[in-house]
Parts: sequence; structure tokens; C-alpha cells
Amino acid sequence: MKPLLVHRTEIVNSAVGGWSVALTDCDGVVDELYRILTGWELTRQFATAESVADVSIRKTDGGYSWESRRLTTPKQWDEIPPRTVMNVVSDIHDVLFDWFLSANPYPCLHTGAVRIGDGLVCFPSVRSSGKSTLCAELVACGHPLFCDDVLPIVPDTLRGFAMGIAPMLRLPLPKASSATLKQFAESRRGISNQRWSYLYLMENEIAPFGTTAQIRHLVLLDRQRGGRARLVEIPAAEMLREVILQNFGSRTDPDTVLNSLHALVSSTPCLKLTYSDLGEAREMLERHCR
Amino acid sequence: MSQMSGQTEIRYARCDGINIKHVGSEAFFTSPVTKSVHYLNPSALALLKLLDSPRTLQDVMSVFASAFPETPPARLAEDLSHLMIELERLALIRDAGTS
Repeated sequence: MKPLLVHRTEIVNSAVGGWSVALTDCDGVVDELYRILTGWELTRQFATAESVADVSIRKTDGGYSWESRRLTTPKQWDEIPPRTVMNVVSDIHDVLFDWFLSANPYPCLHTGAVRIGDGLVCFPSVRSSGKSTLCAELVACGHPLFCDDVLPIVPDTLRGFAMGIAPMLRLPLPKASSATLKQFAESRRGISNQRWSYLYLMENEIAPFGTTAQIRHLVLLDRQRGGRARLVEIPAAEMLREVILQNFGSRTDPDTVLNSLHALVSSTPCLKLTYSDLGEAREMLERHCR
Repeated sequence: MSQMSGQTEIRYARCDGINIKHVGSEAFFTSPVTKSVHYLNPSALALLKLLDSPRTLQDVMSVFASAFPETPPARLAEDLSHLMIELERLALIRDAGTS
């Protein structure tokens, strides 16, 4: 006789995000969502016969499966079902942007952003420029994180909108990482795989979902193998090319994207930071951007 | 992009209602065709300004030949032709009738 299987379904709901996910036999996933999401006003409850959720995720022998009633599904789940809690969590993390942007069609910067003083310093992404590591270095030294990857821009005010999602660091950390960063990353290390690790930040280290702040500086990063850090002004057109190239709010009306990003770069100092040493780069930003 | 129609030549003009933002000597615009934002380098922007009034490709060639005397005319004609085809595809310029 086969053993009786009792399936356990837990529903996690975000009041401010406007979504609910039912997780069946997904031990650990809800706990991890609570750890990586700040300010989403999550609640959890066991499912009843009447329970309905926007998304149902179920652990099966072949990996995790995903069914959606109305929200987008992560790419490739049908072809290659994820098999680890880390993959499920990071894929939910990714679709949260889609879900948010479908209700709030804001332009987005592909950027890291940290609050220094009373405003945000943004690092629009250039490949392998070290934005996530520099953000972590700044957070380790007391500057709260707004995002390490995606920053929606509120079109009317041009303020950055925090998604309240924990940052991910690529492993291993660069050899040039400061002792402060290494210690910080170790003490905040969360769920990880061989290539990536979440950082579980404390309450005062990450802006909760929905927090907004004025963008004070836009800084392109240029990481080099050696040499002293230097910070120089660059033409607004160079910055606009970069942020438009990186913008991925495909749901957003292109005129809104152009008008918002043009207004942003026209009213914000645009800089390029060339650096090799993270600590030196951080000190330069602290001096210049406070 | 057709250039000649019998003995007359097609004129081209900038389309109305295009959202263009100028930044220094460059500009960005949204195309109603691709529904995305595109970059205009200084040469493309100069061409667009020229087409505020309808002009033939030959008119445009004359102006650019004066501005870039060191560029061989054949090369200039080829570059301008490609640029105008691209701008027409993006609905930034249009056929404005024959001269």
C-alpha cells in the first residue's frame, strides 16, 4: 500500500503588491520570500478549499511547476523546471518587476542606487562595471540601498521608486574587495548557489518597497585593473544614450520613457567614475555626492 | 526609397508630431513604427532639420557636399540614401510629392 501523501499549500499575499502566490510542498520558499522582500506587507496562511491565488507553484518529482491565473510566468519554466529553492525565489524576484510594471507603467533604469545624504546616487549599468559590488560596499558603510538592478522612475516627479528586494552578489567577491565588504557580505549572506548569493539586509540598510527619493547624481562606472579613482562630468547625451539603451520598461509608452529620462538627465549631474579600488571609489562618492 | 519619377524627383519632408528631445548636438526620438526610442547622431539631426522644408535627395546631397567637401560624392550619396531609407522606415520623414 502506498503511503498517504498529504500536500501542504501555503499562500503568501502582498497587500501593496496586489498579488498572491500559493506554494504547495515548497518548503523554504515562503521563508525566503520574507527574507528578500522588504516593505511588501506580506501575509501567509495555509490554503483552504476556498482559497484562490494568482499563481500556484507546486513541487513535483520533475522540479517545480507554475500555473498563473493572470500574472506573467518566468521564462523557461515549461522547458526547464527549476529544481532548487534558490531558483524559485530568484524567478519570483524577476517576475515581481513585470507584475509591478503592468500595474505601474513607469520607465526603469537598469541601475544600482544607494542613498547618500538626502538623495540617490545611481549607477546605470555598464557590463562588468561592478555596480552591485560598489552598492554593497556603500551599504556596508552606512548608505541604504534602493536597488541593485532595477529602479522604476515615477514619471511625474522623476523620483526613484524602491522595490524593496534584497541585492544579489556575484560569487566569489572580487579580489580587490575591502575587508569591510568581505565581512559585511559574510555576515549578511543569504540563500545562494555557486554563482550568486542574496544579501539579507537589516531594516535600516534597504529602502522598503514604495519608498521614493530624488535622484541627485547619475554615475557611469568604468572599472579598471589599476590606477587612482577619478570622477569627471560627462555630457548629458552620453548618459541619455546609456540609460535609454538600458531601459527595459517595455510596457511603458515610449514617449513617457523619452520625456522622463530626458528630463532626468537634463536636471541631474552626469558623471563617470573610473576606479580600480572599491574603497577609494566609495570614499570619492561620499565626498562628492553628500 | 525611390528617387526619380520620370523627369521629376521625389521630395522628402520631416513628419509632423514626432517627439524629439535635443541634448547638445544630438537628439533622441520616439518612432511610431517601432514604438521605441531611437538615437539621432549629429548628421542625422542635421538632415532632419534640412527636411523641415521638403527637399529632393539631390538638394540634400548639395548641402552635405558643401559641409563635407573631403567626402567622395559617391560615398556621400550612398550614406545619405541609406540614412533617408532608415528615417523613412522609422516614419521620421515622408514622401512630400514630386518637385
